[in-house]
Amino acid sequence: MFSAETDLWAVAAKQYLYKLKSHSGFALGFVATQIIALFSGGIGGFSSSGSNVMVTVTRYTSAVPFIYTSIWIFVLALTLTGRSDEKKDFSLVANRTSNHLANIGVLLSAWLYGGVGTTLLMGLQRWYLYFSSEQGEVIANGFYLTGRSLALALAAILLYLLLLTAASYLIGVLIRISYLFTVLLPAVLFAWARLNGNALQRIGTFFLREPSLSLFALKVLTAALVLFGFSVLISSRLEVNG
Amino acid sequence: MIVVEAKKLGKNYGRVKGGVQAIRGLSFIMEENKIIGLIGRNGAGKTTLLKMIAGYLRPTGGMLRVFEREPFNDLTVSAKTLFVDDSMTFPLSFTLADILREAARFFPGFDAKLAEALAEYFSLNLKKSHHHLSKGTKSTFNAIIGIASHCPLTLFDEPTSGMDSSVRKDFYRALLKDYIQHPRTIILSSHLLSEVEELLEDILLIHAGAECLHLPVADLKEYAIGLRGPARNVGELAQGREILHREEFGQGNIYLVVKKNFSPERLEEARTRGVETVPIATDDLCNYLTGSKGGIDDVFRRN
Amino acid sequence: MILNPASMKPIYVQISEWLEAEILNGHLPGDERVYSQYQLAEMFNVNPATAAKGLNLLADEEIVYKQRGLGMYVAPEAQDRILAKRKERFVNGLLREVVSEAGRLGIGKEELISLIREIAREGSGERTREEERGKEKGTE
Repeated sequence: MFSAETDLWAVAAKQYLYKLKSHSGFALGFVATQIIALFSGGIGGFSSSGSNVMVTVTRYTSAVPFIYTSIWIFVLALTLTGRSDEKKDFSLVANRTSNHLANIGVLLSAWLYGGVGTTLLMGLQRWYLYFSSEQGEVIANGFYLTGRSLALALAAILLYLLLLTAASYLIGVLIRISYLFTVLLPAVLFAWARLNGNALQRIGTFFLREPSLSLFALKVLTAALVLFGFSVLISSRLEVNG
Repeated sequence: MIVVEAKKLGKNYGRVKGGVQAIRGLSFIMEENKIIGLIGRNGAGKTTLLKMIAGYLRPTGGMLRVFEREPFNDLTVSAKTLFVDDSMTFPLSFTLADILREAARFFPGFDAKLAEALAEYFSLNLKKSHHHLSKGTKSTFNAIIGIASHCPLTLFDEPTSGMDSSVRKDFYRALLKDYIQHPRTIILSSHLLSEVEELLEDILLIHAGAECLHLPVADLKEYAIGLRGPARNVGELAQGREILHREEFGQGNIYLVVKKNFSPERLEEARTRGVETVPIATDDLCNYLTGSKGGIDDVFRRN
Repeated sequence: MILNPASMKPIYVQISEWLEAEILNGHLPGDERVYSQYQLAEMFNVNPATAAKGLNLLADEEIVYKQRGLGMYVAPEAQDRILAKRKERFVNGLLREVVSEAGRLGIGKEELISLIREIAREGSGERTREEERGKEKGTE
């Protein structure tokens, strides 16, 4: 009769390249956001002047590039799961599963690119601060990065970012299912925090206060798997319309 | 071999009561390697049906099989099916050349040489981006993908909307020539039968989501007959038959369109009594089958 | 090749009539291969199935015959068969119509026959006049 099953992974791989190519602009976007992060300066500070001395203190934090990267990957996740992308993806060969696999593939590529990029930029930030503040002083614990601490930073950034990526994807899928979630998600989160702040805090502590890196990695990987899996599951019966 | 099979197929939009019934109880089969016309008025359910066949939409009732599988969300069906309509979109960053390259990666039968030759013939600039094209040019480009992909099942939903008439003619001829070289199943939807009639082997006429007619297109011209003459004689001849169309004119004269299953002797006899027989143009027949019995005149009669 | 889609004759009938004309005017002699359904489809810009139906119509009337695996060939007696068929159709169709219409108009049998004679004479007369005109032009 008619020929055999189509290979899911082969189609997903083709779709992955298709999406990677069509979203290549995001790679450039990342560089742009990071340049903004780099030069946007400190997150706050104070200055005081006595009769002879003037002191200006500016605080810098490595969190800024990371926050920018998170926003960048969140936007990418929303774009990948949006209706306008969906129409383009289904113009050729696709089903929900292959589309999810390709999307996740693209997100993971972005995650790796963004994570490594952010870590390098953090180093760059220190280097920039060091040379741009000749006349000043840099006060920080562990300002001078060793190879080991850089590797640790990379691991931590990648793990945090993975968690955010998977969560962003789920949010994107939920919004694709219904626009109501754009209102519902913040509302539920807010209400939950008000009513049951402890639970939210416990979740935070569960991930953020884990002292063991390998245990932290295990937690994040499991959570990411659950988030991606749930995203695939809840949208498997979704129709294609744009 | 049967490529598409539907049994009592239904599709409702909206879960609650009062949702729109786009397709209701449609049953048909479509055989391999035919060009089939899906004809119906705007809003008859053509696009909904095609989107179900393409696996985009999930049927809400009955059974639908494409390549012997349930098409909804099925990768194997998707790999062998191409749905072409004027809202077919591609990533903004892709040029037409990029899209042709992508199509070639996804469809093993894609004929890149043909696609490029067609694009050149229709003076398409392959360096241009897809979403910068005008409506007509976009339709032309999408149609080229539809032809060059050589997909075992190609669905064209009103493919010529926006094309000017010479491009239309060229497109239909290109489709026919390519089909002769690479036979495959093609479903062509149109609200105007006369535009595609000669290209078709079978026609499926639908109205309000239900089937009106499904037959070889060659039989269509002989499906119905018009009877014109004195009301009494015409009425006698048409007695007990389904009247597809009725028009009154002059004093006691009437024009009826009925199914053509009279013996030649019967018609000859009626002719002697002043009943004229008129062949029915296929477009008119479609209008009669999908319209209200009295036509536009009814509106004016009531007011 | 242009078909007349507005014609009330189905397209496959128009194709078979065109083939008959080709046989009558000697373009397709006996035992010559007829165009395939695909050639006809391209020539007339129609679906191959429609073209096949036109060919089958001629096969049914034994104007063409099938050679297994090779296609359709013109029957040696094709011209005679077409002429006989057309004559039969003319007598049973058009001629009968003429007679019954004449009856409705109150034209008598004798009158009708003399009218036909007159028209036939006019027709041949016209032809000779035209020929003469042609000759005159030629000599000018």
